[in-house]
Amino acid sequence: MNKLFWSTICFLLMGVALFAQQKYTISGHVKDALSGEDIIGASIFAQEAKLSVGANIYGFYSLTLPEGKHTIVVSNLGFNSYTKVLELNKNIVLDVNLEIKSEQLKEVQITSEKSDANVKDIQMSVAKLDIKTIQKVPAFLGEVDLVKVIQLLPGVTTVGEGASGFNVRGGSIDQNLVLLDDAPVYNSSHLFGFFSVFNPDAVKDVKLYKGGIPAQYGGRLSSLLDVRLKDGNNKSYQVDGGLGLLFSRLSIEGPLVKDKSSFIIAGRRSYFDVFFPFSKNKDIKDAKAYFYDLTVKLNYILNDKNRIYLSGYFGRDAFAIGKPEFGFNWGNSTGSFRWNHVYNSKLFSNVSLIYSNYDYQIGVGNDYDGFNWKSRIINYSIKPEFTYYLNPKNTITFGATSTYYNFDPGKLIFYSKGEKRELGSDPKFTLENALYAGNEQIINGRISVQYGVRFSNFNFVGKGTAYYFNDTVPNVRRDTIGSKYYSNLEVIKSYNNLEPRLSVKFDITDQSSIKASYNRTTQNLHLISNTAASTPLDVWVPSTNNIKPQLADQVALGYFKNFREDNMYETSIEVYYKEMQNQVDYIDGANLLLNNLLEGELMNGKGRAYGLELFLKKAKGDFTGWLSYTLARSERLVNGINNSEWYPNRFDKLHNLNLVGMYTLNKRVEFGSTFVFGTGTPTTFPTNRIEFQAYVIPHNINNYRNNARIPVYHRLDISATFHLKDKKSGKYKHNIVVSAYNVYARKNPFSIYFRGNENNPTVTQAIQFSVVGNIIPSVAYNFKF
Amino acid sequence: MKKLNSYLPILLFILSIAFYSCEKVIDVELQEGESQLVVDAFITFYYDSVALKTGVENQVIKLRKTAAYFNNAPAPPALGATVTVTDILKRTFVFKDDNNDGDYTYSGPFLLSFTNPPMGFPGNAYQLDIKYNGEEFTSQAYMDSVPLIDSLKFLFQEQAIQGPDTLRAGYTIDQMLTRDVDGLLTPTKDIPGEGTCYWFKSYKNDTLYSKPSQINLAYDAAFGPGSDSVAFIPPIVFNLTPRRLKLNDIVRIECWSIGLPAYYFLTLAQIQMTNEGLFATPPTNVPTNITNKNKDSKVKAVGWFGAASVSRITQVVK
Repeated sequence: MNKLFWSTICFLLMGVALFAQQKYTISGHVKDALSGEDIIGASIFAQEAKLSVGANIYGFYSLTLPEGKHTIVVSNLGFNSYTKVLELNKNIVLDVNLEIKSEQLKEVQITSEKSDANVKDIQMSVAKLDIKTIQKVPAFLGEVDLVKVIQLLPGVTTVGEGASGFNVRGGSIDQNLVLLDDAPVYNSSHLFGFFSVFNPDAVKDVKLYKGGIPAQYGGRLSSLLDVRLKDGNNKSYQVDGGLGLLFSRLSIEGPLVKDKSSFIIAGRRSYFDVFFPFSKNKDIKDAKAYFYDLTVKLNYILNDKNRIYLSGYFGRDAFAIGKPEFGFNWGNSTGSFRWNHVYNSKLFSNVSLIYSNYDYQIGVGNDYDGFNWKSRIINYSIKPEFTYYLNPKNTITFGATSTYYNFDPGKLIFYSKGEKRELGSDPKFTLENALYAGNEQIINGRISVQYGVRFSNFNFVGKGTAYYFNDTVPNVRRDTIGSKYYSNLEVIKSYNNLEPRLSVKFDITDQSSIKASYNRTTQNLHLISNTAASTPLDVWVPSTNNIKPQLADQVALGYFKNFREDNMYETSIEVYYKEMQNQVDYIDGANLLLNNLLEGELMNGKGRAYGLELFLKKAKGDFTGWLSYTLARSERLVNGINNSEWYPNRFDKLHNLNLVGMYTLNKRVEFGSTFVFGTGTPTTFPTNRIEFQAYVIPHNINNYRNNARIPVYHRLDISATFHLKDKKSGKYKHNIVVSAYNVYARKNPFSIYFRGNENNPTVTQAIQFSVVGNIIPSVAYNFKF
Repeated sequence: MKKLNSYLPILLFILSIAFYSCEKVIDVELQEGESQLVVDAFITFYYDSVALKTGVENQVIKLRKTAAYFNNAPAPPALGATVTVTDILKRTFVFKDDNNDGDYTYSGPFLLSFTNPPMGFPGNAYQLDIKYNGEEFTSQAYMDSVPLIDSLKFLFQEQAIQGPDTLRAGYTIDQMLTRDVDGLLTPTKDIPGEGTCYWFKSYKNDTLYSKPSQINLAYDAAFGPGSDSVAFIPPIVFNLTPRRLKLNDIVRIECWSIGLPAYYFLTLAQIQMTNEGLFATPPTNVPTNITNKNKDSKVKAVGWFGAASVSRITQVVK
C-alpha cells in the first residue's frame, strides 16, 4: 500500500519535470473594487496565447506565458472586464480590482462565475451557489437558509422538514463534509433541523461537490459542502441586518486598516422567548428557549506575499424549563487560522490551523438530586496546502493534513441523594493523517483531466480501553469477550486507505462537453443515529477495532450543454453509480445512547446508490430559475436484516422534482417561488398485534424493515420582495420580504406511526405526522447601509 | 435513556407552537401475518409493606394469539394447551385453563415451610413448557430480589406547565422510603449488584396508570450500567405520579424486580408503543424468550415469560 502511494507521488513529480519549460509568469489577486473582497473563480485570459486560468478561493491566480506582448483580460460575471496589454519579459505581479457593472446591480444573477463554467470547467457533479441567489429563494419563515436551497439541487434530497442535514446521491447525512472556512461543522442546524447555522450575511460563496471530489478533500463519503465566509469590506463600513418573525440578524463589516485589513462580525438571535416573562404561567415565565450564532472573520494583508485570515463561528441552542430546572443545550464552535503565502509567482500556499467542537448538555437538578449528561467531539487540525502553477496546462496541488480528535460520546453524571455515579461511554481519541497530490492538466484544446490520489491514515489510539466482541447471529447484540487497556497515544488500531480520484472533460463544441469521473472516498467518523430525523443527541464515533472505515467508489458521467450565444440556458444530464462498504447499521432495538459497549449494537453492511440527474437553468434575464429532476435509488444490504436482501434506505426517494423561479417585475418588486415534489420515504408497518399485560405491541411477522412508504411530498412556496424607496443619501437600502411556505397547506407526511388510542390503548390507530401542517406566512424586513 | 426522552415532549410543545406540526388519524391498509402464540406471564412473589405480609398469589400464565394490527377485539385466547412450570427444586406446577379463556392458572396449594417454600421466592428459577397445536415451546426465567418500600413521602406542587398533558396543582410522590437496620426511613435504594432491573407500577384508587408512556422502568437506580445500589434517581421517582394526586387518594406503588432480559423487552415494547413525532426510531419487533423446542419448526411464538419479586406499598395521600 505504502509502496504504491510513494510510486504514485514519484510518477506525479516526474510528470511535473517533463512539462517544465522556461517562461514568464503573471500572478496576483483579483478583487472587488468596491469592497475589496477576493473574487473566487474570476477568469484570467491571455488573448494572443488563447490561454486562461481561474482565480482560486483566495482570489489568487498564476498564468505562465511565453515572452512577448500579451493582452490580459480579467473578467467575472457581473463585473466590468479589465484589459491590459503588457510586454512580458520578466515575472509580473498584476493585482486586479474589478468594478461591478452598474446595470448588473439591479439584475438578478444566479452565479458569479463565468457564464460557461458548467461546460468548460473540468469539475462535474458540482453545484455552486452565491449568496445572492440563495437570498432570492422563498424561505421557511422568511429566514434565508443555504442548506434549504441546496436541497433544491439535483442529487440532493431530504427526509422532510425538521430533518437536519441533507442526503447527497443516496448517502446518509453524516457522509457530507460541511466546512465553514475549512473548519468542519458537525451539526449544521438550529432548532432540531429547521434552520441551518450559516448566517447568510456572512457567507460569500457555497460550493457542493457531489462527485469527482478533488484529492485535497477527504474524510467523508458522499459530498463536500464548502462554505466560504466574506472577508469583510476593506474600503468602507457596511451594516446589514434584518428583522424576521423568529429571529433577527445584524452584521457589521469594514476596514481595520484601509485596503490592508478588514473584519466582519455577524450575529443572529431568536426572540420567541422575549414573550415568556409576560406569561401567567410560572414555569413558562422562567423558561429559556433561544438560539444564537455569531460569525466573525478578520483578515490582514501583511504584504504582497503574505496574508492571514482568522474565522470563527459560535452558535448555541438552549432550552430550559421547570423546577428543578431541566435544561438542554447544544452548539458548535469552530475556528480557523489561515496563512496564505506566495512563494513565487508560481507557487501558492495556504496553511490552516483548525479547531472545531460540537457538544451538548442535558441536565436537571443539582448535585444532591439531579443529573448532567454531556457529549462532545473536538478536533484540532493542521493543513498545509500548495498549488504549483507549473504552466498554463498543468496546475498541481499537493498537501497534507493531520487531525487529532477527542470524542466524548456521552457521559451521564448523576446524583441521587448526594451519592454520585457516572455512566456512559469512555472518551475516545484518534489521529487522522492524509497526504495528497493532484494535477489538473489540459491535454489539448478539447480534453482536460484532473487526477490525483489521497492517502488516508487513521489511528484509533489510547488512552482508553478497547473492547472485543463475540461473533453471534446477525442482528443480535454482541457481547464482550475481552478488553485491553492502552496508554496515551498508543495505537489500538490503524487503517490505511488509498483514494484515487479522476475527472475527464471532453469539449464537443464551444457550448457542450462530456465529463466523466471516478473517485474513492473513505470515512472514519460515523454519526450514530437511529432516528428518522437526526437529533442533537446523536453522537459521533470514530472507526475503532470494531468499526471499520466506510469506503465508497463512485463513477459518474455527464453531458453539459448551454444554449444561445450568451449561455442563457444551461442544461446537464448526469448519471452516477456509487458502491459503499462498511455502512453502519443497528441491530433491532439497539441502545445507542450512553452505551459504553455501543459497538456490540452495530452491524455493517453494503450500500449502493444510483441515479440520473437532469438540470435546466435560466441564468440571465428578468426571469431566472431552474428545474431539477433526480431519479434515484439508495439501498442497503446487511447480513441478518430483511433476509439478507437489498432493501431501501430510510432516505430513498425515487422521484425528486424541484422548480425554482424568480422574476424581477421592476426596480422595486421581485417575486420568487419554489415547487418541490418527492416520492414518499420508506417506513416500516406492522402486520399484527401482540397483547401483553393489557398493552398492544405492534409486530411485523416477517421482521422486515422499510416494507412500506409514506405518501408523496409536495409543496409550493412563494415570496415577494419590495425594495423600499432609498433615503436621500442613497446609501440606506431596505426591503420587505413577504413569503408563504406551503401555500396550499398540504399536510405533508413526515412519518406514519402506530399506537393505541389516547383514551383506550387497546384500540389501535395509524397516525400520520406532519411537521408543517399548514400554510406559514411570514414577513421580514432587511436593511443595509 | 428512554426516560430522558420524557422531557422532550415539553420541548416539542414549545416547538409545536411555532411550527404547526400536526397529527391525524389515517386509514392504512396493512398486510396481516399468520396468527402466532403469545405468552404473557410473570411468576410473582409479593412483599406487602402495609399488611406486613409476604406471599404468593394466584399465578396466571396468559396464552393468547396475535391478531391483525387493527383488530380491536380482545386478543383471541389460545385454548387447549398443556402448561407446566418446573422450578429449581424440581417441583412441577400444572397450570389449568378452567374458565376456557386462555388464562392458565395455578391456584395452590401455597405451602409455606422451610422444606417446601412457595413457588415464588427470590433466587428461584423456572422453566415453562407449553404444548400447543402439536408444537412444544419452552422458556426460562429467574426471580431477582426486590427492595422493600416502607413509606411514601408526598409533596404538594403548584400547577406546572400547561401543555397537552396538564399537570394540575396537587401532590406527587417525592420519595420512596425504606427502613434501614437502625429503623430510620431512608430513600429506597437499588439492590446491590449490577443489572437489577425494575418495573414500577402506579395505581390511584386501585386503577393502574396503564398508558404505554407510563411504563416506568429502571436499570439499577437509573437507566443503565453505573448506577448500582444508590437511591432511585429523580426521573424514576417523578414518573411514579403521572398525574397529580388529591388529598385522601389511595396510592399503591408496586416495584417489580423483573431482571435484565425483561427490562430490555419492556423498554423496547414501550418504545414501539410510543414511537412518535420527530424523533421516532425505526419500528422493530420486540424480542421474545419463548422458543420452539423443535428448532426446525417454522412455527414461532412471541411474548415474554418472566419472574418478579414484587414489593408493594399502599398509602393514603395526607
